[in-house]
Amino acid sequence: MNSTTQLEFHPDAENLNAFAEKALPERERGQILAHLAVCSRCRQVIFLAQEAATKGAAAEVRSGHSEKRIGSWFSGWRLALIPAAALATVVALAILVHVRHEETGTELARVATPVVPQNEGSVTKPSSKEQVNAGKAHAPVSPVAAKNSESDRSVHLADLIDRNARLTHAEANGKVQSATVATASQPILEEAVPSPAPPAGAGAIAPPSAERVVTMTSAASAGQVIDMDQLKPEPVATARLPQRVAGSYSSNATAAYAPRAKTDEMEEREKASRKAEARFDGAGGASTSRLKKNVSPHSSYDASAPLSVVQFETGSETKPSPLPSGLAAVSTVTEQNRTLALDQAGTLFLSEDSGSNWESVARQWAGRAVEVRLQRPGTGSTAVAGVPLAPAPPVAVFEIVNDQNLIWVSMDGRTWKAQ
Amino acid sequence: MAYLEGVGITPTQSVEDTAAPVIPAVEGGIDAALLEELWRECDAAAWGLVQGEFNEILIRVGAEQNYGLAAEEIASRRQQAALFRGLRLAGLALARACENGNERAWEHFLALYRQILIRAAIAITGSETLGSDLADQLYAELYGLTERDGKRRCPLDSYRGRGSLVGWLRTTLAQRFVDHHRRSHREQPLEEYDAPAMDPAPAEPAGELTALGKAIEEALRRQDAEERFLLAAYYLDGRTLLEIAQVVGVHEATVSRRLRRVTGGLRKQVLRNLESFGLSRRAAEEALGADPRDLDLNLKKLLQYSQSDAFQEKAAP
Repeated sequence: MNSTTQLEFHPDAENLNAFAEKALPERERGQILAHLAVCSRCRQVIFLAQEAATKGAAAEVRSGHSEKRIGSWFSGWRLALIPAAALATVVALAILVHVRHEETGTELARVATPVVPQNEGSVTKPSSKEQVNAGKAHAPVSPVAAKNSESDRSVHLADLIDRNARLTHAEANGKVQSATVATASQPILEEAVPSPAPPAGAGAIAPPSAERVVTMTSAASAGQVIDMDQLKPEPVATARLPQRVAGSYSSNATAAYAPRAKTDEMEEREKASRKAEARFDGAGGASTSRLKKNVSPHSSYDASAPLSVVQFETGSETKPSPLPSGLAAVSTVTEQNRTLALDQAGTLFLSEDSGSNWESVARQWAGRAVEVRLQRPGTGSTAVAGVPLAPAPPVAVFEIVNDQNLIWVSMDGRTWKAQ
Repeated sequence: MAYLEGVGITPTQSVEDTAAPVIPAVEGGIDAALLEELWRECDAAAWGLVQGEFNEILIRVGAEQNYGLAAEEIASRRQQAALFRGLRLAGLALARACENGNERAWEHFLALYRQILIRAAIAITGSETLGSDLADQLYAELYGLTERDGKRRCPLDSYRGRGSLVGWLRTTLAQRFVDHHRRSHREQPLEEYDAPAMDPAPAEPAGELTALGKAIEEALRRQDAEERFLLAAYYLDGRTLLEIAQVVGVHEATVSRRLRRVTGGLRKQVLRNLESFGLSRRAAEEALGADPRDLDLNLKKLLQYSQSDAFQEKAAP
């Protein structure tokens, strides 16, 4: 034992270290232990040395690990590659699924284009030459067979084509001689301009405006012969026609592709983000405005060209429905500010403020409602044996078609009765 | 190895257990074969030591310790081998070479232990600045910059190779730090740092309390060295079970069990002592429930200054 500065006898560093490293024989170890039991200084020394050894060993381990890590830096990243690859796979799958959904919707819309005339049966797609002629508003179009088809999508298409064809047919003949033509054009004109008032000079040339169209209708309904050269489609009338088309057809396009193209999960996810940006009639409105841009006044007389545009655009840009049920609207119809919408569950909703607020309509029909539409009032009733009758009252009649093709009608959208 | 086999000892066999005939060593020196074998094992030539120096170091170490024998005894070759096998010869040779001023040995020493020394000093002091200062100071001492009585003094001469050189360096650092702390905090010695203030007019303790104090003192005195060390380290120093376990060399759960056993035995011993002082068992147990603050007993002092007889004999000059 060596003496220290405190004139006490303590084991020297050699013995304390040998004790800590268990390198002492038992007898010496006992002596050191006995000293440690009574000497706080040596206890402190030995505990400090032990602590330094522990920390030094830990530091060496850390430095060894860091050297190893530096030496093989890539090996450390190999483990990170596994979750990275998994993440990349998930992202790729998500993108793939999303792209397929988009493509599916677009393809459905594209496919729908040629299908519509076939379903219509009597409506033939005009040739390119006819389209050119139609652009000049003199193209002869095959006779109209305006009946509802069994297809959801083709119902409104047939309606549209029917009206287009009737109008063009009358124009192609140069004169409106048939009451059928007049009645056929009447709904369009009624939708374009509600509550038409016949001018004093019935039979006179209509002014180049919406009122002119009304005048034409009134004249036609009055059985007067109108020179169709003077009734060339005006931009206003042309614009009104696709607007009607867009309003009705866009919802059908939605009904055709939304359930297939969108999963419920994606719809739920997108619903919240789209709620703020789209009103219910936003899809129709958007399509309509786009239609107004894309469709020239002349081409609107072509039965197929504007439809293709409508179908494509509505198919690819279908806006979600902010219906209270949270489901997408499969069929909508708008009359003035009154809008009826059917969601995917077949629930009917009524809005009287252009889609801002909705109320559910109690079910008064059998089966599952698959379509809501406007009835063409006066069809077959406004002309008898070529003699035009009084025009139908400008009151909209809504129709609901169920999955068994049965129809219920309503004047206000709330009360329904079987037809 | 070959030498051990030559003298009839297997490497794993304890020297004391062998009954091989004692082979007397070469007087005044060590067997050349043993020296050669130890020289090869140490690989001291890698850091510039020549075999002649190495042999001198071993001879001197052996002479200082007389191979672990009494002064008059002459160590046999096997005893020599046993001594050297029990030493950290590589570190010992390096330390002695450094002590002798071998520059290449110093370079090797620095390369091996410089960073370890600094890290240990930082760990001991808990401060990078203080640790670096402490390490530099020790390094200067080791290099022999301090002189005493006109003679260059190197602390490395106290290293005898019983433990590792790095462990010796850590312990030396810890000693320097604790001694410096105790010198600079002489006004508040560590053992009296949290001693309770003395009551200026202590009341005469009751008879039961006096008996209790004596019983505790007596019971502590009967504890063996390891039990007292456990009590002091755990209750006085506030060391953790893990720290104590690392020093004692057992698992911390073992330390915990031992502590529980020691305190349980201490309580029983105190009760027995109280009964031997004439108290009934019930009175003894009631006395044990006395408020410790009423006791005029400094357990820290009692444990600190109860030097064991064995150490006093050893420590006495």
